[in-house]
Amino acid sequence: MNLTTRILLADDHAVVRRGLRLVLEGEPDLRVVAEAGDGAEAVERGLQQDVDLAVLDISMPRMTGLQAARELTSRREDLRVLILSMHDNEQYLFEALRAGASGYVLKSVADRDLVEACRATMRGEPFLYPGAVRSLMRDFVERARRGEAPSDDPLTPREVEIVKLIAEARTTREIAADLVLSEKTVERHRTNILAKLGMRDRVELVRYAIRRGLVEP
Amino acid sequence: MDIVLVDDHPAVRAGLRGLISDEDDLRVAATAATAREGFEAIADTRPDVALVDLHLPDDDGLSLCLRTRGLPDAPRVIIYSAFADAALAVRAAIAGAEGVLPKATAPRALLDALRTGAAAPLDTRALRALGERLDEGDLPILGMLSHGVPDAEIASTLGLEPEWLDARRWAMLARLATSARRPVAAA
Repeated sequence: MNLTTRILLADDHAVVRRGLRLVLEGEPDLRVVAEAGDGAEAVERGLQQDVDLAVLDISMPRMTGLQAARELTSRREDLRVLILSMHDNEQYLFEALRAGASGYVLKSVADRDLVEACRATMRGEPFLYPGAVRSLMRDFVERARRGEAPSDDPLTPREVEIVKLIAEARTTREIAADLVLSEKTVERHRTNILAKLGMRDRVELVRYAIRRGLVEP
Repeated sequence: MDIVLVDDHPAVRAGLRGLISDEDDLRVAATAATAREGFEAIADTRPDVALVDLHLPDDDGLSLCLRTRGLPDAPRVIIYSAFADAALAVRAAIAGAEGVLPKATAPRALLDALRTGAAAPLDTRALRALGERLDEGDLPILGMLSHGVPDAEIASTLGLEPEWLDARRWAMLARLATSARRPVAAA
């Protein structure tokens, strides 16, 4: 393992990138090896092996930070992702965590929090600002009170079942027969699943199923 | 040339400071994170230019700008915003700002604007649209401000006390602020 964390910095504002770079490079264990000015560029650059950690601004042109995070974490399991955001808003926070980010840093306190967030992430720990921890706990308690399972699984049990069958390379016709559904219904489930997970095709779905332990690699 | 930076985001302040410190002829006199600190910094250091973020935690950059107009040696003020558009440029003119720069401005262009000015002709459609929301009596003021006529000249042309002209500008800003909501950033 490297002693220095190699960072990809993505923000559409050059001035902000420069400021963040100054914050990060004041630390001996952090090094910015790449910069990107939009989400698509961030994905392209983040897929290369010389990056350990991607720090992504949440709102960027071409592809948002959330979309880029989703794409990067589904295609490179060893890459860590932090989302930088101007929104102190739990909806964005939850979306960021769902997109595979291991931390959410507010831009208004980036000078104080960003370095610590990078280190926590590389230790495999999540990083959340204090208000975010409160939001998550409130959400958890609310769900428990309503008797919901404390998970944020976007998929219904039926959809999980279908993901597993798709990942096992079963055809639509076979799945329909197995679950006593019409082929059309299976197709519709498949479309919904891809949309919910923000994925494009079966390949991504199979990776997702492996990651969730639904099928063996 | 002395510059005061007012922005609540530390990364923006650090980035601007880094950018400006590379230039021999430019110097950061002070930085501030709120409108209140910004006003004090401008009053204390009397810079040539102030680069002021539109959204500040305690107030907005336009109010800060208008307040500085009463200072001796009031600096040129450039409003710096992620949401720069034609309507903001009109509001900035009412506040007495020299111009508006989007946060996406390339570093080179930003430095040029600090040195030589950020004034740009206002969009006539935006002027008309915002003018419709103002008192009719304020339209001559808007007209002159949009052409860069100095405050004292506006007051004497319209036969207004300078204090009254100020009061009208505050009223115009307040009227336009209520319906100029910050756009929701795309996620």
